[in-house]
Amino acid sequence: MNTDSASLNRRRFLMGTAGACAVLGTGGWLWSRERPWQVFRRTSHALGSSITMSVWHRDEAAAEAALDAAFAELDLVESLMSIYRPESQLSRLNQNAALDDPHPHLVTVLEYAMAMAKETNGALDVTVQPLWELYHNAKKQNRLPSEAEVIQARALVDWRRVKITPSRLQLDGAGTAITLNGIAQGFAADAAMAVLRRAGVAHALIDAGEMNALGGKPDGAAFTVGIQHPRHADAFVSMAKLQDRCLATSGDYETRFSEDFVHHHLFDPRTGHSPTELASVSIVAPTAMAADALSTAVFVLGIERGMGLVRHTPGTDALLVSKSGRITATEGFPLNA
Amino acid sequence: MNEPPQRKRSGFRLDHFLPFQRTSSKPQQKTVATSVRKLLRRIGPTMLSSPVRRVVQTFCFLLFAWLFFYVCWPYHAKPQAVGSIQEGWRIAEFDQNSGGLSLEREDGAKDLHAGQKRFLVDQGAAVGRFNITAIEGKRVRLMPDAPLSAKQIDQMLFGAGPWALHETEPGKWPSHYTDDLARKEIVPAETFLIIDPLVSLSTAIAARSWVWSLVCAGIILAVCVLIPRGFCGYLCPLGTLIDLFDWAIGRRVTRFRVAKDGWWVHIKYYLLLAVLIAAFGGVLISGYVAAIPVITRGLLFIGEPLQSGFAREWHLVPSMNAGHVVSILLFLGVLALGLLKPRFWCKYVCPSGAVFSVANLFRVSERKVESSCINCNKCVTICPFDAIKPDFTTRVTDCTLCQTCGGVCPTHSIKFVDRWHVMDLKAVNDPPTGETALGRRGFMSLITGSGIGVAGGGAIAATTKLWGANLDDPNAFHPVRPPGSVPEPAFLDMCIRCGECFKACPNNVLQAEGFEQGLEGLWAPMVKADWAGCESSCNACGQVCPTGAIRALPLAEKKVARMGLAIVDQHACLPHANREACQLCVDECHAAGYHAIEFVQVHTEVDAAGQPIEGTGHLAPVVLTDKCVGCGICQTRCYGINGLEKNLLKQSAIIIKAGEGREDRLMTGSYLKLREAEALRSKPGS
Repeated sequence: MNTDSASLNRRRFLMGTAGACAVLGTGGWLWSRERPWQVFRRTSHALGSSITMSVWHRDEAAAEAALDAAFAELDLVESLMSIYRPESQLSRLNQNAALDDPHPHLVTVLEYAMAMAKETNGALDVTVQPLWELYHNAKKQNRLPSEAEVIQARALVDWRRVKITPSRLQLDGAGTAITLNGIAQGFAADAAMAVLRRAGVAHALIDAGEMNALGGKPDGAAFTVGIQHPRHADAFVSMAKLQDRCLATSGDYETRFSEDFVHHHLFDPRTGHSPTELASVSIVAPTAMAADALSTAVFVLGIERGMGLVRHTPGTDALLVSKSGRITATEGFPLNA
Repeated sequence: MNEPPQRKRSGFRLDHFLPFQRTSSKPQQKTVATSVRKLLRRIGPTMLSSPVRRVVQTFCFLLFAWLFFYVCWPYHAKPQAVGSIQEGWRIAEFDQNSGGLSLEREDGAKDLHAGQKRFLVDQGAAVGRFNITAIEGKRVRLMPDAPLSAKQIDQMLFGAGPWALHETEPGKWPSHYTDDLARKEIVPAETFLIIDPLVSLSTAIAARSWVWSLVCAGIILAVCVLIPRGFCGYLCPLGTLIDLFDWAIGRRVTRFRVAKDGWWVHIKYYLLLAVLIAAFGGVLISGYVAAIPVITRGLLFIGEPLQSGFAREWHLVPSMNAGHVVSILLFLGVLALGLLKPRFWCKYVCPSGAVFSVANLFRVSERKVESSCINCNKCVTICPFDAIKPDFTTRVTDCTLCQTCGGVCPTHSIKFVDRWHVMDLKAVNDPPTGETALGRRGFMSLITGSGIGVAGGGAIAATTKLWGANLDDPNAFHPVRPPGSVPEPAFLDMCIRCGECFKACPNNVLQAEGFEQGLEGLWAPMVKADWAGCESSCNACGQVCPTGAIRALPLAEKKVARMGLAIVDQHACLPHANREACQLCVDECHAAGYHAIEFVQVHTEVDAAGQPIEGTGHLAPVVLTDKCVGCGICQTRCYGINGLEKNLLKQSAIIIKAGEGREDRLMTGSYLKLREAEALRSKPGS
């Protein structure tokens, strides 16, 4: 009996150990096996449009943390550059014609805007806010502004009136006002993307009206994004493939002051009216801010000069849709063929 | 035979039949002349008595057939083959002042020789044409054909390369149909149509505008002052065809013969009156009855399908409509009139002939019968135009001066001289002629005929206007007209319905309209884009139009003249309706060089984040209104593949439509300028 029981105990021990090992081994194997890719999405409203971020990640907690940080960055950018928030740094600058100790982000954006204004000979001008105000108020009364009013407002538009130093921003001349609506979204997408990248995200797509792609999809495919057709609300001009690039589109259909697409939110600072050649401009560039700024600039410059500008800017491609519907694209535009 | 002294007094003589006359009744010596005479006699007495006329007739008839069946046969044209291309050149030297440059590449200059001309091309864009001056190893020296412009120098300096040398110019607008027609048109294809005086006269009256072919009509009428109705006797291909018909069939059928002259001898005047009255009413019916349009359209609807069928493929022959049948019956009816009497049509019915008959009143030449006449009646029986009365005097309005009578006259008593030198005339002591004498009955028949003519012309004008195009009606049928057509109301007044444009049109894009616009549009050309599309390299229809209803546009103008606008039916178009991917029309339009159809991405599904889902949706066509000229090749392709071949559609999903705002119809002026003005209007700062 004794010997029996002893042998039984040993056997039971051995069996138990083996079982435990098997369980632990299986669990460990399961635990150590790669977890599948998941996509995490979050949408919020910032800078006058809705912003959706999609992050591909294996770890939910890490992804959510990264998204939290990115949206915090977005809030920061909005508190600096929103024209719709009276307490934002930009609004204070417009009110007081000067701003001390601006946030470095704001300085960066304005310096880039000034550089673009210089390069495009004023086609991209952040001081078009007076024109916007004029059309916006006229639209409330269901009319278009008169030519005299336009000339009056146009006189206030001049990018050279903005003086920038890291410690102080200043607007010269009465009535000068800045809008960053052509750049801020792009900058915000870039800033949020930088935060995501620092948080260890390798695959993400930010849709802030401009598309900003980090890497591609986890399976190596590029992101497919649609380019809105300027005349058919439910159709795309085409699809574009994005991999580590950004796409921005400026179009005459986004905010209209007249039903016929003649008067809209993009102004030619030299005439005070909207440019008449193009219906939409899509730019693919390394950064969303560059894409955003260039799309506005090319829209104002028109096909010929705009294409020249795109060719001279490394890493950028353009797809233009003229008012007649003619599509012109540079060779390198990543069309989804 | 002594010549009468009067003969010397006559100003000039036109007796060109004389060399072939019998000289005596003595036994003939065998000479070339006699064997020729025997041959001619075998062919027929008219050939023997008036060979010159028969030769001219034959020449004109063959010329007409050649113009119609060869010059207006567009299928000789072949697009220029793409020549040799040498790629991969680098610019080694470039001298901006002279434009001279040298290119080099590793493979060297194979197949190139000094003296050749080559186009220098940078990524598809041609800089210009250069002459190869020398070949030095791997280098080629080039000199420009013409001094380089600043833009060309810029292209050279800033071109990225690698450069290519092309034998043919890349991206050049095709023009082979135009070039081919220009090569063949030694004489204008519409020659006979423009010398038919009634064509230009009635067109000018109906359209109330100057028609340039009036000049040609004036010239031919002036010639007829010398040779009365010479057009009918010598030139008119319809007359010649009727002669052939009479010789082949008319002689052998005696059943329907009318012996005497009756009231019908003046039909042509009443018909002419009716045509002109209708033209004053703004309705052009001369194309129904004028000689050359009748034969042109007859040959078109009978001969063209046969030619297409035999020379190409029978399935390429378009189907017929009611209008075709009416026209063919009319043509056969004209020929069948020959059963009543030889050349009955020409003598009594043809209104074009009536114009010449009226012009005959101002003739300067005259047929005279001398008193040596022996009343043998040979001339009366042989006269092809029944222009000799039983008393051997001339019906001056009918005589074509064909001189056949002079050829058969055994006593040489028939002379052709100028009108004022009265010769020793035959005494007038002959039996009555059987015509309606000018008395009460003659007066009655004149009044009746004129009345019917006026009433008929007016009635035709009125009914056509009532049962016509009704262009003011918003729902009016708007056919797509050929490129360069004048505005529709003027077009209906100026188109003579000869059908010349159908013949010259490659692939039968232009087909005869039926009764879609009532009587008013019958047989006018309209584009049947389901059948074929207007060739971008062709401007034949305007080149061959005799009246200017289709203006003769140079190819560069035709390229931008809008005939209609392609409209996509979004419910039918396969990608728009989300049925399947299809880009037939887009490919076709780009291949033709218009680039007027763009893509749009439709029916793309989006995921939860609003991002498009890979693999959903279709690229669908969108027409650019400022580029589309309405040539219809898109419609042809869509109908041919999706409709006929695959049975996916009942009709093409892209259809060209004409109408207000969709077409340019200029009476005068340049379409290129019109386009430039449009471009300026849409440009900023204007």
